Amino acid sequence: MKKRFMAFLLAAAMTAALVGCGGNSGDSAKKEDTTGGDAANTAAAQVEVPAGESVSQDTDIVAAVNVDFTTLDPMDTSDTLSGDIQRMLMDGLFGFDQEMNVIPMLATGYEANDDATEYTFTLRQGIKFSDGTPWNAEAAKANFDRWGDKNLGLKRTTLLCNILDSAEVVDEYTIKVKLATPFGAFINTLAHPACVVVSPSLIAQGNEACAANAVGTGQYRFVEWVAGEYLKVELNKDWWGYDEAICDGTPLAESDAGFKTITFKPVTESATRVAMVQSGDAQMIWPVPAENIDALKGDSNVVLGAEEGIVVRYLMMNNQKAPFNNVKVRQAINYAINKEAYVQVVKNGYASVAKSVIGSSVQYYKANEPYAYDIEKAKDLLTEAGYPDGFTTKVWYSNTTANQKQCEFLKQQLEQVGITVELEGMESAILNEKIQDTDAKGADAEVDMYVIGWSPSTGDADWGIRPLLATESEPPMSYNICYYENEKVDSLLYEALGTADSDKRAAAYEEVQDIIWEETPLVCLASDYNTWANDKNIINIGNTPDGGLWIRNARMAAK
Amino acid sequence: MENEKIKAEADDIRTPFKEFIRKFKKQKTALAAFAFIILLVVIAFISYSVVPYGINEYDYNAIMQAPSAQHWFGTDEFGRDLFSRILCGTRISLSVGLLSVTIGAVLGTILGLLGGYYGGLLDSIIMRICDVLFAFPGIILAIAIVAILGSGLYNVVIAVAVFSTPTFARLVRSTTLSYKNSVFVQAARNLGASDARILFQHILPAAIPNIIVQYTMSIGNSILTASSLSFLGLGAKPPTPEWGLLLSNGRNYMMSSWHITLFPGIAIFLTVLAFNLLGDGLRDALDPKLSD
Amino acid sequence: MFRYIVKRIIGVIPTLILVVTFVFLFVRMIPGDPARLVAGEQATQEDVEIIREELGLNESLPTQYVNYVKGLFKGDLGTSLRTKRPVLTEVSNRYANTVRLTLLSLAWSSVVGILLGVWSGRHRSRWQDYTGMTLAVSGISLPTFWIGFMLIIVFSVNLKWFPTTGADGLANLVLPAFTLGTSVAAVVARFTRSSMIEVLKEDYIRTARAKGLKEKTIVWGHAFRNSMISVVTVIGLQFGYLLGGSVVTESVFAFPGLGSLLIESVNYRDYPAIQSLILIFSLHFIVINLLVDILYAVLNPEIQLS
Repeated sequence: MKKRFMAFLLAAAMTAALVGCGGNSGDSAKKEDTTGGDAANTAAAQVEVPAGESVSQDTDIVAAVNVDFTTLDPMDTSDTLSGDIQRMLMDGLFGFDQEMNVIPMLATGYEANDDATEYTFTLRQGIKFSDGTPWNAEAAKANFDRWGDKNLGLKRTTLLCNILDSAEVVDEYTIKVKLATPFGAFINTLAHPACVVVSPSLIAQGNEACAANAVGTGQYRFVEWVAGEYLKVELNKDWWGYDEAICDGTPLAESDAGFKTITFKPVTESATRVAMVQSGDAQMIWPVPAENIDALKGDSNVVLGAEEGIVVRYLMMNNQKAPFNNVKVRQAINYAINKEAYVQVVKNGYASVAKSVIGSSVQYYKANEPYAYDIEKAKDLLTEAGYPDGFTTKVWYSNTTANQKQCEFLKQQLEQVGITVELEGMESAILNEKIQDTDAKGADAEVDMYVIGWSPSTGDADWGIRPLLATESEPPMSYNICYYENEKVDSLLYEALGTADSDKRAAAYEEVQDIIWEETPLVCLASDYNTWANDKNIINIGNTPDGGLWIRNARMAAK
Repeated sequence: MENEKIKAEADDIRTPFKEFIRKFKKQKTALAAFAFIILLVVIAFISYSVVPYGINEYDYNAIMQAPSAQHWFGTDEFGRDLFSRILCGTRISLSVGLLSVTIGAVLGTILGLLGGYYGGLLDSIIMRICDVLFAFPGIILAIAIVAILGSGLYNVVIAVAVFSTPTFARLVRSTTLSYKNSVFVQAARNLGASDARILFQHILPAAIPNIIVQYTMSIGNSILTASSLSFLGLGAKPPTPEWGLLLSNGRNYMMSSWHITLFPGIAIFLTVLAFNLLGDGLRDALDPKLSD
Repeated sequence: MFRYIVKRIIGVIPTLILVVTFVFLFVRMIPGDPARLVAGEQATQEDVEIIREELGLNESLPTQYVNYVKGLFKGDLGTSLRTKRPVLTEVSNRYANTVRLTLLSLAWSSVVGILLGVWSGRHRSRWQDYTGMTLAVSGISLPTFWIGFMLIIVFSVNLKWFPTTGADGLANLVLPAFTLGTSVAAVVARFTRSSMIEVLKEDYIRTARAKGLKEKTIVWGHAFRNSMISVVTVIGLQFGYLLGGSVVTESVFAFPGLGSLLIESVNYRDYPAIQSLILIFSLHFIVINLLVDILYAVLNPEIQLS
């Protein structure tokens, strides 16, 4: 059912893209209220609007988002939202398409040597930055040099600074990059939103200029940013992505797609954001948390969109600490949690039961059979493990409304097998400190259970698994709060990382996913849907699997 | 016969307390508020044994149901009975209000008495600290304290107690200042009464009316602050049925299921209103400047 | 008189020093590592260390304190850890927004509060009094965020009369100003009522009545005029309260003011920003208090003696 629904979405999106149809009845309330199907309904409810009748390139729209922007410097960005905006203003050498497949952007192709230490890129021709600077190998070198600069002092400095060795201009549109170590995930990393390309003229002005301004080659140009209030961008009608010749025959966007200006407003309160799209103060909002979805269902002027994403929700357990050091206890917990109910109750139906430690659109995903909901089996396993009457434990989580809800649910589920869970919600700043800045590790660590969601923004299995489960990632290095140590998993992860051969990588990641599924160092709960809502006259809005906004072909139909 | 006469004479004597009762009885809204508070206290004591459902009785087949014969106030996002949760929440919300203000009042009274009576450096220190605490807007102080101590009901109580302390300190200090050189305090001192005796037997009673009024009004305020902290994610922990938490968790369902915020909202409103009206009535009855 | 004023102004200095020091230590007592927060969710330990150095958080506490105080003297509030821009720039735009919101809230709530208070006060212990006071007290009996959301649902979503968010024009300010002002209206109404009751008992009112003056003239021309001073004082003090009390209201309406900035800054443990904001709030409170005291002294010279 879920598969069919995804395929359907894809088909709908493709038809829309090919025919250029649009408009939307948006009346999802009349349709049957089966939750998964609901999302499909909204995507399917498109009505035809003849091509060329879109008015969007003359339309100003307002988009309300959930957090404030922090910076315009891609290398200094750690939040998804700022990254999304930057992706609209600037392009990378590589990028993602809407399904998060890596596609060539400012590069047209590359060649790598066998040990994945030397990459030669050919660059796309005929592109200019918004300040008129031409895009060529010199501009590319300026960016590679910045990414490799260890003294940059920015949040994403370590993404590439330990990997890049040197960049060398071969000719005007060819650049050769040498790496200090073999790095199989190099191309995916270049597609990471932090690696979008900035005009060398801006780089020359220093970090402060890069934080306050954006000069890129993107579909939109930066206009103005009033901190806390709004960030405004305008359409770049000369974007190379509209140009058939530069794009080798298939433009990235249709000629009438895009909005004249988009004003992004940070609105942290979800209920307020929902009110904005309902009152017409905003034409699109995202995300729409599961709790707020019902409010929009009855509104005929608003379309609710949902697509499966790559954020997976986990219940982590401290694998080195009793009772979780016993695999039977961990499996018992996994059996005791009804994931279908989790999806319905906690996520309002807007998620799908997790079948792996990574989401289905992450590269090298392999589906496993979810642990069935079986209280008897869970009780048997607990008895075998020596806990026939269960035990008392605690779960840590950052105290957002959504997290509170899922932890209340987990508490209730585990109570059924005799496990008493104390809920300890904390502000995320305090939580991070308690997890990371502590000398007590492993069996001595204070943490018992932990609720986390993870979205590997490179779209690659490595970033979906290594930070969570490799031995090297135990706090404070990264987020292996399970304190899970498995030599086999570690060696397979490094093996996959050390090669650019995708067959070898696929085999390694498949084995890793199987081991994790069996040993269940964490309970994989569900894969979230990304949700957004928009004015019914806007079509072709979508999300990338990592929860980013995808509006490359979005447009507003004439009313 | 003789007894009746004495009784009648006794009735004629206007003790301050009788005077207060006479005036307070005239405050009709305050009387109603007082009755309501008594009712709340009764509910707080008996709620757990009379409610139709358990406060953590989950029913995933009855999520967000509108009010009905089975569920008078409807059900919440986990299918729990809201009527039962709100009734049981009475004890928690009242405790938060009473406990935090009591701590604040006791601390503030002691500080005010000491500062006002002894004066000098001690007074300066106490008053400067009060100034600093005053200069922080209440909610911001509460946010900061909860941020340091961590969220949870006990820390909310402490935060509210801290920010209500300076008000009581100032109030009591000013009364102390005006009585410390009064004739009866001088007389007591000359008779060799200890400082403690003077403070607690002579000066404190004079401050009591003001303290009572401030105390009553602060309770409402502290229940509201607790709910604001819940809104900011710094309040009680789920699944505690604290009213502020019910209200704040319900805000995302306001547009789809009206009952989820309406009932906790009404509970908070009526309770805080009752304490405020009672406070107003008490002040009218106790403040000589306002007497007829 | 002059000496009294000078004395009061000098008296403020220790409070200020205390506030500055207190705030400095206070923000550092809050658990949470700004370097890690700035580095973001998926940062590695190496990232965090780079950030810590970049932000100057590896300096000792006394050094940081000295730098902070030195900066204050130069009018430099420091650089925001979160956005890396000067705190002064971050604050100035939002300051104007918050002041506008505060003034508008104060304006409507004073008018309503005074009217309700006078009405209740002159009809003491009658139905008008009970209605007026119950109405006023209702204003301080509702959780702010609940009022805010109700207003949004009714006036933005259903009636579409006012916008949900923003700070551009008067229309944007209506709903948040209403939300923010309800509690002030209640305080003003209560206070006006008590001073009306007090004043109406005075001899000169009785004289005025005996002279056969119109009730309207007595109430507004004599009684209210004489309770004005204390009412204005209370209103002035509310300004400081509103400035800081707007935290919740600003969150509900996504209002780009100081309150929402404070919440954001606390979440990020943005020390320079939190310090500056609390300092701004406190400074307003202290200055207004000072002005009120001086005003009192000017109008009522007996105060100086006590």
